[in-house]
Amino acid sequence: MGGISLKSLNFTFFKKNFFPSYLSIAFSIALLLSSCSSISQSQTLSSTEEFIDKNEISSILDDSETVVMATINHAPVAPTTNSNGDVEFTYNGGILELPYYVSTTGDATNIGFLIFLNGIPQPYSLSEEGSISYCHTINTDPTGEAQIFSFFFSPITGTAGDTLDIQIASIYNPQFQPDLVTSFGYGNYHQVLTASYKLTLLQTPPVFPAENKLSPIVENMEELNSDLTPEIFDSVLTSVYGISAPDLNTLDTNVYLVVQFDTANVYNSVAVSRDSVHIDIYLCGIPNAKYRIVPYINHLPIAPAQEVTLQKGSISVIGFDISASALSTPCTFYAIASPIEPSSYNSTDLYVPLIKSQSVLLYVKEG
Amino acid sequence: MKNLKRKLISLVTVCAIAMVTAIPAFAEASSVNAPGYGTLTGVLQAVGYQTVFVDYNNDNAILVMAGSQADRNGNTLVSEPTTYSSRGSTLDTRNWPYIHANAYALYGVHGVQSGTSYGAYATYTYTQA
Repeated sequence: MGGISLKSLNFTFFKKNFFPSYLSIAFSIALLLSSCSSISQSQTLSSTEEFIDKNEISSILDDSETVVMATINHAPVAPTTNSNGDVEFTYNGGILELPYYVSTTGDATNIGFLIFLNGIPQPYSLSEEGSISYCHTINTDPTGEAQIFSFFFSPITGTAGDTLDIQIASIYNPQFQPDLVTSFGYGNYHQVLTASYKLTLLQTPPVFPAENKLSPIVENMEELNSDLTPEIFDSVLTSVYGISAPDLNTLDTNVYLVVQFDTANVYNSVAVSRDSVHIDIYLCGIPNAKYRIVPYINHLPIAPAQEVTLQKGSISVIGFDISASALSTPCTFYAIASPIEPSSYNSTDLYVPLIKSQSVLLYVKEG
Repeated sequence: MKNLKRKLISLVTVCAIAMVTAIPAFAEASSVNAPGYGTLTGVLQAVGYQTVFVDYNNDNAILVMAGSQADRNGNTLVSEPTTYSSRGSTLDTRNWPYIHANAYALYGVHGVQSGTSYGAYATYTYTQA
């Protein structure tokens, strides 16, 4: 009798004096433990990093029902580094060329880039004589092959001797806009991914040409710092992010950005049926963190950056109107809160991030 | 007969261990090669459990998770707040507070960003709720 036949297995399996004494115990343990597996998995993942087995994850990838929509990677090309090995660009006067690359897979066929210097939107071009804009879109080859290009700009802020924080934020498929027929929301599109480095100015940059300054289309802009009352807490943090009063301590370590349209939280689109739409941008979180808040339409700033300092127990609000006449065609609105000197806060346990709000479609509803 | 019993017990025990240690079948993951960090992997389960990890993070970078829930028409129902790990972390996890009753699609973003030497990487996924 070399192996175990199915017949002998079945016989042995159901034999009265064997099943209760051994198998039932083993099965009970198996069922008990397997029923708890999802819980123990998350607890284990939370408690130890050594648990992660790349081979197991690879098998999940093979069997997964998840659709990987895209991957994005962007970084400087052959950047210079300082004595710590950190990437640090140097401005020597004139126009700075910053070689960069982006590679994508999946449906990330176009990637927008926004640049911020100490929280201020930085206009740039993609060639020395090219058009200057706050956002350029790179059409990508979604095979993962790196596309190399350069940002060209003269820093909009700073003087010789300064070391500035430069943040380069990508936007996933910025050309996408819901058509309200086949698509109604942005889903994963327009998400930002930020790379952060240093820029040392060895020369004072020239004054920014007036013709490249913003033409604000916002009206009645006002900034205020409001107490974080229970009403505001509920309407802004609880209804949008599910944060309740017991979670208040999360405001010490995170930053939250919320945009309301005519006092309503909106995730998809706003039909402007009156002469104008009123927009409030709320920002709260890490005490003493300094931010610049900028509203955007179609990826271009529509107002100068508003500087705010976050305070415990309060919330910063930027309010303004946009006239319906300024919305000639359906357009994408969002706000970005970009940190001022984020590296001064970035200890191991505290990260002051660049945050973008959910993209929302604005369009005029006739009649 | 005793030998057969031992073999059966061993077989069942092995099966039991395999059932326990395997990652649940409903886990949904994406992975991408991320030079400077090894491999970046993101997991988003249909119950809203989300995790992101890299092999190593000597660059003091931040792990990022974002997500949203949408209905059948693509209307966003819930926008999950973006969360950021502490610097240098190789693992971060979270549970979404709830799954909306009308949720049809769960969108996940898992990334590593703001390191001092390397670039930014992210995966963007879609999972049916």
